[in-house]
Formats: sequence, C-alpha cells, structure tokens
Amino acid sequence: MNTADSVEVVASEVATAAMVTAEVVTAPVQVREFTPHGQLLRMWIWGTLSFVVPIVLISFLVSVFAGMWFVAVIASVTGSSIVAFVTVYGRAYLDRFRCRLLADGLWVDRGVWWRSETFVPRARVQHTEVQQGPIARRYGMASLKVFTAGASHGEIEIDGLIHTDAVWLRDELLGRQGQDGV
Amino acid sequence: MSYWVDRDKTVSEQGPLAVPAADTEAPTDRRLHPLSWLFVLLTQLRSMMFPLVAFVWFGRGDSWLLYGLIGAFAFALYALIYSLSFRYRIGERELLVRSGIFSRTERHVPYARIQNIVQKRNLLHRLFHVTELRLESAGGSKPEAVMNVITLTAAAELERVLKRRGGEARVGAEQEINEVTPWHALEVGDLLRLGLINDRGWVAVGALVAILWQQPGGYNWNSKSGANDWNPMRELYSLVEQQFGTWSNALSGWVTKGFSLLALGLLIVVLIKLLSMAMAVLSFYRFRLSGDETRLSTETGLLTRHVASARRDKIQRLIIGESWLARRLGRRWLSCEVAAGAQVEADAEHKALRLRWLAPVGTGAQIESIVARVMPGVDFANLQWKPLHPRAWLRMFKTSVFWWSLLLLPASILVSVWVLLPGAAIMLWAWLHARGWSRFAGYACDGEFIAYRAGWWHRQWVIARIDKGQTVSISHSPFDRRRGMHTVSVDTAGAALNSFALSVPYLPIDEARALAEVLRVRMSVEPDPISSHG
Repeated sequence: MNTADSVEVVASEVATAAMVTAEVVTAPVQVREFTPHGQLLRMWIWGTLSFVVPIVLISFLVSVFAGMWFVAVIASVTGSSIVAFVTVYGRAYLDRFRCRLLADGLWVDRGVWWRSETFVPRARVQHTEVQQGPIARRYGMASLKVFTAGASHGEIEIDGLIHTDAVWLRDELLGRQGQDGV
Repeated sequence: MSYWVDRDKTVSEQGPLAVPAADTEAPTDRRLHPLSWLFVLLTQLRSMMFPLVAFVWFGRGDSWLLYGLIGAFAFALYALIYSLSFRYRIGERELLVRSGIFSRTERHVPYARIQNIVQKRNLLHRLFHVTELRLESAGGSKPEAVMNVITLTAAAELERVLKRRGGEARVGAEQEINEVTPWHALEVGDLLRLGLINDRGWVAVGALVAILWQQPGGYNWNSKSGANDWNPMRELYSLVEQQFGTWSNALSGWVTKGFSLLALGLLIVVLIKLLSMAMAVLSFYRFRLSGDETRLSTETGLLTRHVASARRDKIQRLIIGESWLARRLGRRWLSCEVAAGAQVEADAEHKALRLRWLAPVGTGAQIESIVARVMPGVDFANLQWKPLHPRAWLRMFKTSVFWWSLLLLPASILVSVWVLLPGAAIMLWAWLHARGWSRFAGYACDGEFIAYRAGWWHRQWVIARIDKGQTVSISHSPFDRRRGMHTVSVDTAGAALNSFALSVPYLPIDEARALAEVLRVRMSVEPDPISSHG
C-alpha cells in the first residue's frame, strides 16, 4: 500500500465537504494478517500434474503404436509448459496474496495481472462458510466464504487458508456482527 | 381458535411499548375475497399453460381430454381449498398468516420487517374490485405473504396498518396532504414523449421475433423443406423478399433504389417509435409517485395496475438516464433499486413488480426535486463532479483498437483488404466515443454520498448513500497499471446485474486510493440503528 501520509493528503482533497476531514480518514488498524497454507502451491502443482501426466502418457502410447511421434512431442511440450505456468503463476499469486483482518472489516488483496483489493466491513457480513475438501482436510487447509447482501460481489471466497485460521476468522467476523446495513 | 399463538398479547402485556387495551380492538381473523379461488386457479393455470396446451394438442382423443378435465378439476379443487383455508390477522406488531389444510403454515410477519409492498390488479381484478397483494422482507426465500386476492378496502386497511405500526411512523396531517398530491405524475402527453425518446419498441420486436422463431420449423425458415408447416417467420421473409424483388425490378438506377431503402428504414423507425409509445402508455398510464415519511409508492398501468411501495430507508441506489433524443427534449428518467432477499431476487416476476421507476420520464428540474426528496442531502444539480484520469480516453480508445485489430487484421488478410475500410470507420467511431465518453464521465463524493456518471449519446448517473455499500474494492489490469489508473467499485444490495454499476474506472492511482479510503471509513461506521431496522 501507499504511504498513509500521501493517501491522507489526497483523501482530504477528495472529501471536499466538511463531513470527512483528514482526522476521520485514519490509517486502518490491523488486527491480524493471514498467509495462505504452506502446502497450497504444492497442491496446485500436484493437481495440475494429476491430469497432465496421464494425457502425456497416453500421447506416448499413441506415438509408439500409431507411429506419430509428433503427438508425443506436442503433448510433452504443452504439458510441461502448463506445469511451468502453474508453478510460476501460483508462486506470483501467493507472493502477492494479502488477507488482513482490520479493526473494522476484512481486506483481501490478490491477483497477478488482474488485481483487486476488496474490503468487507464487519457490519456487512451476512454469514460465512468454511469449506474443506478431502485433500484439503488432510493438509489442514480450508477455504472461507464471506457473504454480504451485495448484488455483484455478494460472495467473497478466500482459498487455501490454514484451517484453524479460517475458523478463527469466521468466528471473529460473526462475533461482532451488527445491523444488516441493507 | 386455540391454536393461534397470540404472540402480540404477551408482547403488549410485558413490553415497554404496551398499548392501553381500550385502544386496541380484538384482532379478528380475516379471509380472502370469496372469489379468490378463481384467481388462484388462474395463477395455477398460467404456470401450467405450456404443459397443458401441449397435453391437449398432442394427446388428441377423448381419453386425453378426460384426463385433462380431471387435472383441471383437481386444480380447481386445490384452488378452492387453498383460498378457503387462508386466514390472516392484523395483530399489534405483526401480521399472522395461516394457510393450508393438511399441512398448515403459520407465519408471523413483524410489521417492522416488511420492506416492499406490491399490488397487482389486472382487468379481472379491477372488474371485481380486488387486488393481489405481496409483502416482502429483506431475507427469506419467498415473499412473506401473498394475498391472492383481497378487496381494495382490505388492502388499503392493511397498508394503513403497516404505515402506522411499522415502528417508525405516525399518521400526521402532512402525510395526508402528501398522499393527495403526488410527487410525480404522468399524463398521456408525457407518455407519448417517453415513447419517442426511448426504444422499448425494439424489446417488443425482439420478443415477437423470438416467439415466431420458436414456431415449428422456425430455425430453417429459409429452406423449403417441411413446407406443410405454416411458419409466420418464413411467410414474412418470403413476403419481404417478393416485395423487395418487385421494387428492385421496377426501380431503375442506384439513386431510386437508395431512396427506397432509406424510406424503408424510416418506415421501420417510425413503426418502432409508435410501438414504443403504445408500450409506454400500456405500462405507465396514469403513473403516480407519492411518498410520506417512511414509504415511497408508485401506481401505474393501463390494463393491469401495479402498485408498489418500499421503505425509503431501504432504497439502495438511484439511477438517472438520458438518451440523445431525451436531451433534445429536456427529459430524463429516474429509477431506484430496493433490497430484497437473495432468493426473491432471482424471481423475475417479483422483481418486475417491485418499486423501480420513480419517474419514467420527467424534466431535469422534476428529477432533481424527486432526488432531493428521496435522498435528502443530495443536490443533484450542484454535485461537485470530478473528472477521471486526463488520459482515460486514450486508454479506452487503445482498448477498442486492440480488440478490433484482433478481428480486422486477420479478416483483411483472409477475406479482403476492403475490410479495412469499414474498419477505419469503426476506429473513428471508437475515437469519438472514447473522447465523448470520458469528457462526460466523472464522480462525486461528499463523504455521505457517492455518485458516478458516464456515457456519450446515452448518459447515465448513479447515486448511493455510502453506508448502503456492502463492499468497496479497487481493481486494476496490467494496462491500467501502465497508465497509472485504478477502478473503484461499490457494491450495493438489490442491484440488477445489467444495471449501471457504481464502478468508477480510470482514476489516477492516488485519487482512487484516497476515494476508496474515504468509502471504507464511512462504510465501517455501523449504520444508524434508527434508520436501519434489520
């Protein structure tokens, strides 16, 4: 994020009306930062391999039995570039991923090319959901869904959190829920 | 009846807001109108229309007809039992609705929770002086109560009770006056003007074509196979083809042909405009917008009258629109979005009935005064608009150049070099559009409200209270980052997916961050409990 000072200066220019002055626009108070589960990238890579490897193997069989060597070449090149892409993109995504619980809500910054920073005030959280698949359960991983009454971003999903973090965050977001704000 | 849970009584006995017993008359059970079964049956039949028609059509023969009759009889019986078993009771603080014979449903609807009230009266309803009434709250998977049908006086009484006991309103003299003088009213002249400046006619034409398309053989109307199936689309096409062929032969020279094409185009435009006018009259005949301290309501329609009302504090956004022709005539339109449960949201029929148009057409001054009344504190004419990034137009133009080149360059190689000629015209148009759009586009934020406007020939404005925002987000693509731009979006409840998004693109990065910070801080403040009844 930019330095709080410069944000504050421009903010007071934006808020020309007396209602929002620089003193109201204070730097957000951070409660806790969440990092993705350490095994998430590995899980993505294995997930990709689980469908790339069989396809490459089949293409080798085809090239051996049908004598079309180029099938195996194309499949191996494509397959390895997909795996390389997932590794590089995944690492960049995880390096850039930021999820913070602020005093007044949840703030998520993510994306590599198309980036978005979303803020959900605590008072707007309608309900939350912690989800775990069978593999995620083995690694103690979970995804958290935060629902608001909003029409276009009504569901915010945070994938690959540590399970205990996701549960803690869920309880924290629900615990101080206020008015529905609709 | 002993099985009524008289929750009201215990509340009024124990609660601090207890009302003296002398004031309250004992609540009595009320029934639907005696003819309700007819309307329930018709509603049932309408949803069963297609299977029923198919049933009768394909199953030609006496036995099929018999089954059909048995089915219809079963529906009628159900309708009769349903409407006879339906009861409602106007309690002190909540409405009690009971329906069903075998599985009884009893629903307690606190008045304070009811947000949207909707009435529908088609010609049959109007003939018997009855109405279908729906009550919606913010949550739930369906309307809290659907009364199909009650008399107009019963409906008026219910609305009066809701107003009085909604927990926030008093019946005052001022309110009575407001009810008499509407905030906005449309006469036939306004409706004709409305038909002229918008193009709802195209929607009707689209729907008509879609229906004709679905006729048997509609997909291959051009082929001569299956000629025994009469198909309106094919008939129409061959008629036009024939007529045009005769014309073309009769007319000599490019000039006459050009003129006749022009005349045909003009004729189509005139027909569309006439259709638009007819549709405007049909849906907005005797349109009335009225409001009091707590609610806004509209009444509209030529054949079917729709009455919709919503709590004023539950209005999420206001959207103002203006077409090029509307600008020439000095007219604009104003609509609003109200919140409702996520499931109710998905139901197109309910959605269509809900309060939406505050002014289908009006002069700039009229729209401004309605905006000021609906959102006190907004001076629409004097909003402090701030422009987007100075190079927003270039960013926009380059995007369209990129996408069109992706289409046009391969086409110029594969098809013909002449493709580049219309391509150049498209580029020119894209340039003009980018310049015009970004010259008008801008946002205004005063700490309490956020407004965004954009458009070129067709312009739109959207205004929302910041504390109605559900989330605020900043987003940017690699192209945005290269130009130093960010997009700031505010998500609200009840926004239709195709409506004008409150999403301000192409802002300078510092300005975008500062704006998002102002929005974040304002939204984090818990909403005033007085103005927001959960």
